Amino acid sequence: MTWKVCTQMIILGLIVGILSGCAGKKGKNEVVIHELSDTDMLNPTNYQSADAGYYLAQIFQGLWGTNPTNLKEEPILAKALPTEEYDEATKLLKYTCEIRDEAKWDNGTPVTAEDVIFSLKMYKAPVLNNEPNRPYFELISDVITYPENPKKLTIVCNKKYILAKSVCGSFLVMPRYIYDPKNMMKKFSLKDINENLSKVAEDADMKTFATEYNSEKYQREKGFIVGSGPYEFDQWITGQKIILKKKKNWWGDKFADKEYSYQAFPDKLIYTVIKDQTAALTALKGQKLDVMYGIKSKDYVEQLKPSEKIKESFNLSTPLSMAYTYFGINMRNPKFEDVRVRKALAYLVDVEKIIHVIGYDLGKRVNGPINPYKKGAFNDTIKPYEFNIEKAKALLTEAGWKDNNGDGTIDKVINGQPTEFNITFTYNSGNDTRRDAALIFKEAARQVGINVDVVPQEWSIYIGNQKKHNFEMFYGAWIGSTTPDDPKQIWHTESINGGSNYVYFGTPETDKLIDDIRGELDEEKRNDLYRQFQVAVHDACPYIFIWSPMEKIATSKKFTNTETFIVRPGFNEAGFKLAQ
Amino acid sequence: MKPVEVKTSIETKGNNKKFSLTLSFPLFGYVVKRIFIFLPTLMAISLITFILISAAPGDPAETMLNRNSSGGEGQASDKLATDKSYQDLRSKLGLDLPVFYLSPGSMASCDTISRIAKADHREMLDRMIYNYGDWDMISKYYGNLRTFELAVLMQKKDSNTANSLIDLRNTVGKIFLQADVANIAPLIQHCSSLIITTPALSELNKPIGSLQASMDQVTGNATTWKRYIPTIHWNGIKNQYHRWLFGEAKWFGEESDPTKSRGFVRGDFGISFFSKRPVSSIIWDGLWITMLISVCLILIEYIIAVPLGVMSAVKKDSRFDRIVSTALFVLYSLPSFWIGTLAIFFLCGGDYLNIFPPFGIGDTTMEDGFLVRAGDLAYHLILPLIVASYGGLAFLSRQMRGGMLSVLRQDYIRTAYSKGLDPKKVIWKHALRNSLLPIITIFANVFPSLIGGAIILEFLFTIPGLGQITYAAVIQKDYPMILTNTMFAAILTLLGYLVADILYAVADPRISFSKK
Repeated sequence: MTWKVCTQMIILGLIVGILSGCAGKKGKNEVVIHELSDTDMLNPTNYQSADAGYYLAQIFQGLWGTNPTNLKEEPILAKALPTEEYDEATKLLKYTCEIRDEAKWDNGTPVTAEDVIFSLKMYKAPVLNNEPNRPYFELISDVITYPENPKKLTIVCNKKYILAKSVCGSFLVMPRYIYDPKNMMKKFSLKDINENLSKVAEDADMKTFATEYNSEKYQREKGFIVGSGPYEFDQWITGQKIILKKKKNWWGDKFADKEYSYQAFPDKLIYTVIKDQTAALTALKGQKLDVMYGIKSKDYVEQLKPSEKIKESFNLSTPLSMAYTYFGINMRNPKFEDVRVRKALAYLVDVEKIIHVIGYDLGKRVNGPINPYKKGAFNDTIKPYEFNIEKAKALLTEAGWKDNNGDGTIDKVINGQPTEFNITFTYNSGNDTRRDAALIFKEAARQVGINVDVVPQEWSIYIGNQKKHNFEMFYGAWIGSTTPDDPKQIWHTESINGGSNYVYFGTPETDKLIDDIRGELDEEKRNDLYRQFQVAVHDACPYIFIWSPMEKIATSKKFTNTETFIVRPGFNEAGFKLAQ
Repeated sequence: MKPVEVKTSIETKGNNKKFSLTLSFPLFGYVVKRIFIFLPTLMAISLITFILISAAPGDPAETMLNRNSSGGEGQASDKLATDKSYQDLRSKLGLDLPVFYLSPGSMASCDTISRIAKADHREMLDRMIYNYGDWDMISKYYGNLRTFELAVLMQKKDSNTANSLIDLRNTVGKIFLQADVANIAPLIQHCSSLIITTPALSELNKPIGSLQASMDQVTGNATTWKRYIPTIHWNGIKNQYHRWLFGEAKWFGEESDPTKSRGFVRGDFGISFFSKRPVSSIIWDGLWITMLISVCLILIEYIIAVPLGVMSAVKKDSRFDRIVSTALFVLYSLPSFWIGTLAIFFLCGGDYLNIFPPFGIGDTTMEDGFLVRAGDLAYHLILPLIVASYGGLAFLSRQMRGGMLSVLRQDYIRTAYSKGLDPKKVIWKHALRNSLLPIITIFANVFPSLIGGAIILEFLFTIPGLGQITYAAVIQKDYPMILTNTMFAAILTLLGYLVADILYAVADPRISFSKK
């Protein structure tokens, strides 16, 4: 009997399930976005993965930020962009602003300077799991408040630095009453944390607070992830989806028409995990997803473009990305010390072919470390090294490389040792597009008598070898951001040990250029320096710059205002408007 | 021998309590004994896993700080670990402790080397100790090298010194990677000559002098013989293994420091490196769905496979047997990940049919009724279950057929037939029971799969079970997750064998646990 009831129930449930599955979610004002994996947590200071950053940006707000559609800075929580003030005597850089009068937390209390200070403490305090984000905020040394106006504040930075403005505006402001209801952090000032980090770390109250703050509650529980932004955290089904819900009567709704960062139209944002690429594409075709990004070029060209179903209900777009890929050359390797050799190698890379064959033409060639999108800073007078085997041959002969022993490979006596020109070219294993690009280079190099050995390495070994400068050539990539480029990390000689200057680039002159760029707050002057810097990089040829791949994004035609742009992830789901 | 068996099976005929098992003392004693044997086995497994993990390449603290660099691209921003963050993280994770209570090595090796933060430096010092033996001198040399590095970094840069300083910094970086004095000497020589030729850097004369002196002492006092004398260093209870197994918190009384761990044996499985959640809570999230799927799989497989196997054994060489055998062989040789991908492609609403959902375990929320939720879940699981079960089903069925065939040849079966017993009874009662042994052996392996799940299946259909969690942990080098999963898999495997052993006794009374 019970057995019968059970079977009946299951069958009934199945029918209901199938029906609800078929009914779909047409007409609902919800955006379903595809994600390849679950994110780590929704704690604004402790998160690591990029996805978490995107979700948090819908829940929390910074003081000011970059509008991704035009790359201009705009105020968000602040009334206007801050006033900048640099004091030559104390060498302190100050940003003063006022928080909007309307800005409110969910309990109706206003957002004040106290909340800003509290948030900065969270980014900087010890014992908290904020290590992934903490180094960013080293530069902020204090915040000055004004007793007569609790909404006014001045952020003090300890040095003149081009990124100071974006750092001061970008951190997410958190409500003190939610994250520290007992006001335990009052005991420590920002100065304490800056100057006596290890003493604060030993404090019992700090440890108690940290245990609470680091706990699961503030990572994924409803009611404990609260910001001043348009969306509230609703639900996290582990490994499946994260749902954000639009707040009713949000204080910022009245700005939605005029200000980009206040656009928030969908009732729900649903970030759905589909691990398998085939399943994700199938789900997209079945309209179970509204947005899919990070689509592989091959799938984009072979599966989405020709599909009638996709054409009917999706807009496909390919905005350029801020990333670029390159072949890195170890400049201290005796074989590559001569700049003529490096240039010869650059002439041997058929970049156009790589973009066409491997990239399906979904990308743009780059000529240096500055993204062409940054019009002022980008130096368009630099001509990239064109594929030219004859030129490469000539340069190599000039540098003394000849096939002396007739074995088909060119050689040269280096430090008394006859050396054959063999190159070990490494890439991270599993990345087949990189392998294929390397093979195109290998073919060309073979024609001038250079042997290229293409070797895959497991990611941690591949990265470890670069840090130890233990490589000859490798295939790498960098992702930039829309904030001004700080070339120090990659190009300064101080970054050779400990930074990311894997290739040993740099002379005193380039170092000086980089130092000047970092301290130049005037955009015009800085752009001049950027252009000089690009010439220096081009001439030294430490990298062979390949291309900047395009993002591949599909957005549903159910919505309008689905503009895509260069800033990751390439779209702003909160701005989607349901089509009438 | 055989007559006795026949007797047994005939004697038990008509006995209604045939399948009941009284928990006799020998069995109980056997179980207790087995559980005692578990403990050292588990210790050994945990230790091997622990050592393997710590020997694997890659530094979890560094990976955590640069986590954004997924898919082969690195962040160009200044987000690289500053030393302070890195060291904080290292000590938080306990990576600055030695791995185990004992560290085998030679008389030359150093027991405090794990405290040095940089992996490259540890590697260099290790090699240097091997080369020269005397840790005191080497540590002095290392200290002087650090002082010199700092002094170089502190120098003011201007147009006179810039070239030399860049060169000095690079050379120092190279010295840190060298463990052989023959290679170090020319580098230090190079540094001194740079300092001499640049008068503005005269401050560096002192540190380079002491560096030179300590390097000479390293070679002068070389005690290479020490490396031939094996010793075992005692690290005390401040080691990673102890910390993981027993924790740091007080055993008795209130622990005042809430940041201290309580250890595996006290139910604290640690905090995941990736999501910073307690491991137990992550596992709990994935456990129910994996359990559900596994139980369904076992039921489906056994319910279909056993009768199918028995039937084809009984009707050996009939048309039925041949068709079933061929079909099962075909099924068994089709890889499930391929069938899974095809199924998604053709059946899940892409360019072809729209019968099944392509991913997940349901779109319902708690607000929907139970019936709707259960139905939705079942609807989402049908395809994954079909894809996951057919392989095991085919295998199991073949095993069943083989086992049954060998039993059917036995004399007592013939006797039973000749006595005029109902053929159905002969097959399903007497023969089946005796042919179950290989199936039970297979059943023992089901237990660990409860936790491991079907990784490929979970990945294909985005089912957030334990298999996927384990896979992600391995990719992310999430040590606490890997360790806990391995431990549970080990415990379940051992339990599986224990259960199988008990089931043998249930299925076959000839097997007993009392000593004879």
